[in-house]
Amino acid sequence: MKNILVVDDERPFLLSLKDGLLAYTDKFNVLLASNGQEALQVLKEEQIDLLVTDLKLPVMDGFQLLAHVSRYDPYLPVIVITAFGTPEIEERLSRMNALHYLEKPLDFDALAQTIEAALANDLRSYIRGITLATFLQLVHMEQKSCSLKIRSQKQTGYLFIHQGELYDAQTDRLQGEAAAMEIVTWDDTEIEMDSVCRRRCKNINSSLEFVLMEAFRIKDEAGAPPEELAKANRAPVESKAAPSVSPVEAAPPPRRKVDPDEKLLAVLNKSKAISEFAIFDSENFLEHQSGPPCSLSQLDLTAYFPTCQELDQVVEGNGLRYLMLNCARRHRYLLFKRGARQVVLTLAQGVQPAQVLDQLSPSLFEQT
Amino acid sequence: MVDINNLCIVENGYSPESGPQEQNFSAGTQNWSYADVLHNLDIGIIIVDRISQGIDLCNAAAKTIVQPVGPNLTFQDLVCDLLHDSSALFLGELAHTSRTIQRGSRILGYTIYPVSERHFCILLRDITEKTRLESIAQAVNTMDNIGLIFSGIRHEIGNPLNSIKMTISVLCKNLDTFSKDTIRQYIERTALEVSRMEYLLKSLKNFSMYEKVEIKPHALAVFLDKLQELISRDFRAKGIRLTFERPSEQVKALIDARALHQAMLNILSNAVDALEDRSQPSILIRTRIHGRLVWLEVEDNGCGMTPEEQQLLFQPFCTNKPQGNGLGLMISKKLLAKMNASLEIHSSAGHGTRVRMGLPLA
Repeated sequence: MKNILVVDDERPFLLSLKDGLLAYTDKFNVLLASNGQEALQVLKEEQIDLLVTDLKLPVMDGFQLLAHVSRYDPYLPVIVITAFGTPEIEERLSRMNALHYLEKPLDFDALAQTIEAALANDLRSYIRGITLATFLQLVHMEQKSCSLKIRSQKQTGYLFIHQGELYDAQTDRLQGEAAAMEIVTWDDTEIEMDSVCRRRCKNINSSLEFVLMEAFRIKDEAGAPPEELAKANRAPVESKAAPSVSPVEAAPPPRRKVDPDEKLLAVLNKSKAISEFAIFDSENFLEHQSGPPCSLSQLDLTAYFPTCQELDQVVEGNGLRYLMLNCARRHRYLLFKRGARQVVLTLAQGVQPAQVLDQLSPSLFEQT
Repeated sequence: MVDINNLCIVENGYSPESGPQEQNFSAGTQNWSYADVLHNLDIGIIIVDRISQGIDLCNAAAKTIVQPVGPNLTFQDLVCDLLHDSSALFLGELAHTSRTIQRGSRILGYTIYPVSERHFCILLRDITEKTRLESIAQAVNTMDNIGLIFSGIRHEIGNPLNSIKMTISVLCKNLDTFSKDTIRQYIERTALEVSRMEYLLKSLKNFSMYEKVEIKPHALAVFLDKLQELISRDFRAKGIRLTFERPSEQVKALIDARALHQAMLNILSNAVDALEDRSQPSILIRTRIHGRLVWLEVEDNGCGMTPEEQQLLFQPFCTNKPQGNGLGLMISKKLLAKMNASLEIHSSAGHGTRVRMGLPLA
């Protein structure tokens, strides 16, 4: 029996849909979630075979959910529901066949068929549910602002998007449009999303769509087009209709990866000494925050540390340990660095910084 | 300061051709005079003597802007052609207010200042280009908003419609198997979504309700009395301390009372939302005279807003309230603008918000 998870914040819609899908109980179970965070919890606890999600959701939106899935459950097939969209985008998205896309208001029969088709296809093991290109098109379509940290094999890059427009990009070697062109062609990407666009200046003049098309054109000219690649990937499976051991089946992709920071987050979330936390990487990309709303997520920590390190040298302080901000109403904030990461915590009343730092051993911050 | 009488004498014998060096009025030993300054400014300056009905000074810019029929601008030109309402000029009623006039295809802006008992100074500018640019900017702004409004409506109507469509089609498929209770539940579910859409339409109706405002002098104290009567019970029930600092009866503002009332209710309802779960919630409504305006302020000690949130304040459908439609402040701003009143919002996250309306004094 397969499990599908439907995420939407409209309770009446969910309730009716669930009743409607009871007719398919012989084929799949339906689980419900009303926001991204609830969905993550379900994904953690249950074996889910198909994710059906709206993009506009409270607490944690559909984009963050999709980004999470791209990292930790990359082969999960996804159906995206949205109130926006044009036929052109629909056509382009459907070419990337692991992602199905439906526009509101939904037609029950069409949704049921799409669910059945997605489950029957069983592309799960071969094609990523969410590719970077589809993700970016959705971001553009919904005019979303965000920073994206893209990992592919050993490379890391950043895309900065303001209201659906590409503002800037960065890889180890490149900046601006050149970096964006490179990042969008990476394969097997893991997407991390920060809901704040961390760059204020527009350094890329071309539109996101142009960058995507151009990058794929260059890639196509260098090798096989993406559709061909997809087919090529699938071909050996189709030919192996016999129950002989298929290489893909023999080494199935990891079912679900574990967040390397899980232990750290557990410690931070459990600690009574901290009321809020935010962890940024060296580019001020927000990696983690305490359950939203978190008042620290807008900060730009890169501004504070260099100044304080300079100060540290002037006063011969022998190494800056942490920064402590004492504000009105006894609000106290603790800022410190761990490796390349920058951490800011809101301390609970009466807690000493040393106490907190002892709890958070450096090993917790090591990322694999 | 320039002695205006002295300057007028100079001006009467002044012609640009004679050159500035020949002027007997000069500032110190410098090679220029105040008359030169006035003459060369690109703001049109006209000084009128209302007793002798003559023009004492008309600089080059004023001539270019007014383009009189004859070689010189006459008092008749000015009063009949330009200002239309000569009696108002004489009574000094037009003083200090900025006005615009249409002259052919051009738009002129002017302000009249009394300079002595019998003299007026008129400052004049050709604001055709400026007005055009402003109206373009406004149109662009409206176009931006139209995009937002459409996507907002699409979302606001799309969601309930989506639920209704799903509910009805599931009901149709299961009409034979569903119990009577379930069927009733499905119908109620549909009705609830329909009422959501109705509510949106009502909000949109409010948006265009006061297309024409009737501006009259209105005692603010009376206005605030009526407002207090209406809201105090509700606020007491919510545990919010409501304080009024009323102006004296004489303070009158040029407003449409209904429109201001609507704007105030929207602003107050935001303040109430901001006060949820705050200790010692209070709202202060006060007025202060500021130049030719009276400031009407609503101050709360609620949760306040971050700079990012403040940027989105006037965007339609932009809201972080589950029950909100994101139209309230936009409607308020539009209503106030129709009354030539301004709306400013100062807020600090965690400390509170102050909304200041600048109403023109009657």
